[in-house]
Amino acid sequence: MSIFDMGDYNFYVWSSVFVSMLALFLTYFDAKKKHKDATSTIRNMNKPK
Amino acid sequence: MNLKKIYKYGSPPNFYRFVMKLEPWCLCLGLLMIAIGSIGGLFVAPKDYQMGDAFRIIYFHVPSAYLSMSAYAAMGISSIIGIVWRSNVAFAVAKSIAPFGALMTAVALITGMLWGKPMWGTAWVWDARLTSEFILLLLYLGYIALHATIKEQKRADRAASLLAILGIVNLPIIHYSVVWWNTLHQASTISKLDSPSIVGEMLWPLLLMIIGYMIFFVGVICRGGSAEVLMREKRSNWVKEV
Amino acid sequence: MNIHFKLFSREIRVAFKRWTDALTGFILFFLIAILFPLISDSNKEFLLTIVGPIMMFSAFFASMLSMQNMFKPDFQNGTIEQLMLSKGSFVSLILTKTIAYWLFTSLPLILISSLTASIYFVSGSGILIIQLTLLLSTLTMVHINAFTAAITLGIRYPGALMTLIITPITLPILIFGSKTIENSILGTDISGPLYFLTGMMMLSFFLGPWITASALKISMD
Repeated sequence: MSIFDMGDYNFYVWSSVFVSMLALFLTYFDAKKKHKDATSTIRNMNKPK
Repeated sequence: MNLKKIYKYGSPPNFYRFVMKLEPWCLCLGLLMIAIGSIGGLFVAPKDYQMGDAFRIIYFHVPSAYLSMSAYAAMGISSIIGIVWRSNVAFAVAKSIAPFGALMTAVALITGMLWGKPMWGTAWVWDARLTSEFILLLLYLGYIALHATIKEQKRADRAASLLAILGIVNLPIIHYSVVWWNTLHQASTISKLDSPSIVGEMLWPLLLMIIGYMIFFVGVICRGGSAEVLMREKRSNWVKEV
Repeated sequence: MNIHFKLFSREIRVAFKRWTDALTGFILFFLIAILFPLISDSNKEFLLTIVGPIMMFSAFFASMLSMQNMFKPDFQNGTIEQLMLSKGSFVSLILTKTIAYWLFTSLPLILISSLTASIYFVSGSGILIIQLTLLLSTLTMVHINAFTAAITLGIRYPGALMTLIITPITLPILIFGSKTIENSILGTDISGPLYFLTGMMMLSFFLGPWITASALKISMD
């Protein structure tokens, strides 16, 4: 029996792991994307004409 | 002297520099703790004698539930700071906390359902904690919706902050009223599986996960809040350097 | 004091001109109450168990329906701005306005609730308890409604947003209000939830006008 096997609860355990990790990474990449957007906006604004 | 510190770190350029230095540390440390905690929780900690492997869900459920509440507290506090000292930075931080907190609340609800389905037989019971978590989600959504519908930035900030402050006053009242309603309505239909004092082997991954989530949260807010500050300050001089 | 009295009588006169607002809430309150026995079950025991939630629910909906117009007309014609500039304190003027509004929209509900309660076979002192509960809870809810109406003032279609804001805040009052009525019908002690409702009412009288006034100030500039 492998350690990944949770018996009857495979689905419940792994899907909750998946959901939590997905949420954490989504928030981080969302924040990162916002930051990138902000810096690129500022760069465009300050471009020498 | 404390006030001076607030002004110093509250000015956008200083805040930005400080936060960008802080962010990678928080992320690395938080992710490391989450990784160790989840390995510990999923593979190392022994099976619960009553619940079997399903109890491992709590390693993901409890931290997100904790975080959803403390994120609301953080949002309320920065709203207060924003309104009292008219600090733009605090408003930016409060705004960037809101979606994160809402998502964490949703995660807490979903993982709670995933735990409840095999343990209680149903995904949803009208349990006090579940209900007040759901109300918390509504409060977050109200904040986000209010902020999104008001077009003007400053007005949106202050209106939504007022709502957040009201929510923070109201949250304990809501929680206790739900608890009270629950105890009278359905006493002992669900007996919370009496948690025997949790053993050390099970406890350390949980603590690690909770603290890891918190630190990760700080890291994400650093990133999101600084993006928000940049957008607000895009016309000022200091942002040209970044 | 004079300015408060003037504002009050003005509010009453305006409210009589906009009588449809109050009437809508009134009709809704009554209709929800008489529709429930018709569409579910009309035996006495069942009705007595649901009368508390129904009363609170219909009062909540009735007050929510009319509140969109609480500040909007006055905001558009500049009355709010004049109040802000006037020499009386803005917070107490808002309190006056809120109470006048309550008189026109919620007091009729309390009066008619004796009739609807008797449709639900509530008798004797039960009716009085229902009226008392409605009195306390509408006096609290009117402040919450005022705050929500004030903070969503600048928004064009605030309906859904208002519902989202108002529901979590009002929830404790609904819970304790229906608990009071339920306890009085079961014949058990009602003092606990009644004290809670009274406390909430006091709290809303202290905090409500102040927070509504600051919400209005935010919406104005």
